[in-house]
Amino acid sequence: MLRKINNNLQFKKSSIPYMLLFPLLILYILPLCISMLLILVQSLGFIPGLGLNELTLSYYMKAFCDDAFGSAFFFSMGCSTICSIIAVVLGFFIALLLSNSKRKGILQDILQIPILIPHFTAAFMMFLLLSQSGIASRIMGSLNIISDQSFFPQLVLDKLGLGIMITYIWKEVPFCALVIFASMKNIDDSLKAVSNSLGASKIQYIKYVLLPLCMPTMLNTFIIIFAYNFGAFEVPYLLGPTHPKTMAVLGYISYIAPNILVRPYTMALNVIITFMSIVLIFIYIKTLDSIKALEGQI
Amino acid sequence: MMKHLEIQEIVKKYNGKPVVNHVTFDMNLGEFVSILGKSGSGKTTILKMIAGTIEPDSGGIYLLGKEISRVPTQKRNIAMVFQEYLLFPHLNVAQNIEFSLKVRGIEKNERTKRMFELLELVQLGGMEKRFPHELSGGQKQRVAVARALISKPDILLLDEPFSSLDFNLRNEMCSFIKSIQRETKTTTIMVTHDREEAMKISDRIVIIDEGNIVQIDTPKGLYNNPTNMFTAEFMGDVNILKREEEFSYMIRPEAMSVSSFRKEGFNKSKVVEKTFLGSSIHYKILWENTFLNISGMNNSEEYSLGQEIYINLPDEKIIKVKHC
Amino acid sequence: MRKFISIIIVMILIVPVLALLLWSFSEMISWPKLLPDEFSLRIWSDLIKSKELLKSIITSILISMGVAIVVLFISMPAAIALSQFEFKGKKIIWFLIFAPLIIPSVSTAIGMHILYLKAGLTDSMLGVVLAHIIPTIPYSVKILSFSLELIGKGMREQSEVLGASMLQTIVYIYLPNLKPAIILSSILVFIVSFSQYLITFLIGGGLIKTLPIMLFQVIQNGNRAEVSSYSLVFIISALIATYFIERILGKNIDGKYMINI
Repeated sequence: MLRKINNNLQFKKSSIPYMLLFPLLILYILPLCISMLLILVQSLGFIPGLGLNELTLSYYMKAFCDDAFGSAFFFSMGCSTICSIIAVVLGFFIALLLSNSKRKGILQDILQIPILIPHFTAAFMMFLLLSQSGIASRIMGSLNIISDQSFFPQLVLDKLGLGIMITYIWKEVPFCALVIFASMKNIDDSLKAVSNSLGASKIQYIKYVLLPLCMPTMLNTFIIIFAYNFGAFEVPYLLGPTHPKTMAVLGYISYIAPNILVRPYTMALNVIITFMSIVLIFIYIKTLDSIKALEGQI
Repeated sequence: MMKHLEIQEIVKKYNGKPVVNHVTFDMNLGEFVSILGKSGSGKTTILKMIAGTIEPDSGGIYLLGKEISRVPTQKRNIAMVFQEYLLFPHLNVAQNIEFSLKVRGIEKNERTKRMFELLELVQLGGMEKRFPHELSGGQKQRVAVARALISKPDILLLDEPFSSLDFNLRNEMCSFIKSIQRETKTTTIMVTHDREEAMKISDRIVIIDEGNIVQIDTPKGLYNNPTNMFTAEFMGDVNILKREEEFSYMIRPEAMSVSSFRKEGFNKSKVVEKTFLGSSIHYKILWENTFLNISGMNNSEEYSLGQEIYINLPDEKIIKVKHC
Repeated sequence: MRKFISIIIVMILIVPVLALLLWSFSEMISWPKLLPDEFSLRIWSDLIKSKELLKSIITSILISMGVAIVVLFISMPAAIALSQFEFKGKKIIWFLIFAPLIIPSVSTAIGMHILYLKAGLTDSMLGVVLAHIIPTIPYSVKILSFSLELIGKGMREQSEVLGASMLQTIVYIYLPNLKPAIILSSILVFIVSFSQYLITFLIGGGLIKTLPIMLFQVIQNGNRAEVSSYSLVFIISALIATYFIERILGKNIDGKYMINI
């Protein structure tokens, strides 16, 4: 059967990879590129359906002049950078813990749980735990540390974005830990024996050998979760304060606004968010590379 | 006088079975000793116990008179070169060589100075910025040696150092390491399964089989005066002349004299097999009821298959060895 | 000490799930009490009777299964092309494959919505399945091409030398060797699709009610007991579904395929 199909399919060898990529092209690359292009065109004020036919940059100007926009940018960037760094660092230590235990313990199974739970459910769980009427506050109340729930610090819907960050950290540390652990397992165990024989202590081995060898994976992981945290809207939408909003929440709210004439503005906002996300990731890659190069010098 | 290194009665068992069985030997300062044995003989386990990656079940290891068998690896001043070199892939040549000084907290200038000295010693000047993946096998090994020697270790341990190299490179690296060892007067222990390698490089050889020391001597001593069958056969070709209950009598192929005509004290025999090996020619001959192997140089007289020749077995060359 | 830290971590991970369980059995707990005066089964009995919930579970599973199958058919040949062949434009393809991980999900969702409005694919299951391809492709292609690289080009060349065509090579050589990677990527694709809210909300237009859509609705309503029970239903269905995917597609997943996702 296969042989028959085969004989009818005689192609030039160099065209094989392109044929293999055909389904990807039709069902993934084209829709992705076209939708991004549509956003771009609409952001330039070209929506014939709404009678907008002129190309203009004015919507971008409007976005940049908006106060909400500036505060949203710093709020998003701050929150996502801080919690991504914390998640990767904690992930590294948990990976160390995993690689030091001889048998596969319960910890490795439990780490899968937060990966299964979607971000918005995680947000709700953190609300149950950390809101002023949440479990943490109740425990402190029962122990008479606080006499009323209003004395419990505002950890969700707060201006610093603590609730957002705690949710992201809880959800993403296990992911980081498992990915970093997988790359640790690929490092030759004998390198530990070598560095011991050269006089390095266990901590020096971790610092000078294990950590630098895990660095590329950690950087990749950081970029992935940073990009997610910067661009996702569910968690800050549920746990963030009304002001400042994150960029993603701003983009979403503006899109579902009933006034259809703000459409080009929404699209401009989304182009900017996308652009900034890419630029920030580019900057992080460059900075981390140069830090690594610097370390080599010392 | 105190020995540089003393190994006393060390034992290591796995699942109740001894892998290293009451091994005892010692070394002088600057000596090069090889531990020679087949794979699975326990030789690498001995090395690992000296290095500190495994602890002996009993017995002691004394370095400069101090018992070290329970001291953690990084606190013994011992360096080891591993079979696969195991350079740190994320560090360049200079950083690899400097590693052990860095972890000992030695300052940058001193480190760099020492690193360049070692780089010169292993003849890799100008390569300090390269990364391990940019080096050939021989160069990697030189870096590994330099990295091990920079901290001036009390003992250098070499684990099958030449086994991952091509045949030609092997000879070169062998004499290279020997010369460096002489120059730095580093007390060195090498583990190997290759007899020729061990003979070329070592001051003394420890032959080990199934966890027991079979014999310790200089290469020449082991070849000429083996005390037992294992050593005799392990160190080179041998002709067994007579077997008795406890002892055997044997002779090395090159120890016999050969002549094409009858002579005083020579016995008649016949060539039954002939192998051309380049510099030498090997013959199998039938003498009375015994097959003997003899070898002749290519430039000396050549005998043909089936030819009658006469051999002499000098008494002083006949070796008496124990069965074991 | 190490054990102590492990226990703390396990606690931190598991306590929020226990909190869900506690709340789902409670009508109301007054501050500062930790446990309700009496446990109630009302929420759960309401849930079990709810046809809407059952429908949303089925919708969710159908959509995510569909996505897993479609994505496998797209990413399998793509991963072979990317890992086994050299061709022009490879870098651009890789960049586009990873793009959804970098471009904010709000932007891709809005972009897809505009496109699907024009194409008339909104408000349909098909539209939602097609839209879920975007966020799931990066994981699938990456996992498959990673394990294909481990297999190496030698296997393909050997099979070609022995006279097999590309199609035969895929069926007889790659598929059996890739089994663990296929299982892992399918599970991951399933979970990612199963958890999508925004894309489903926009493309489905509120007509396609998946579990996350229902869940998000009750979260916004804010009844803790209700949200807790819905969340648990979500987690349990995800667990059961992944368990069955694993059973159906085979056994034994090796951790090494998790690397560098």
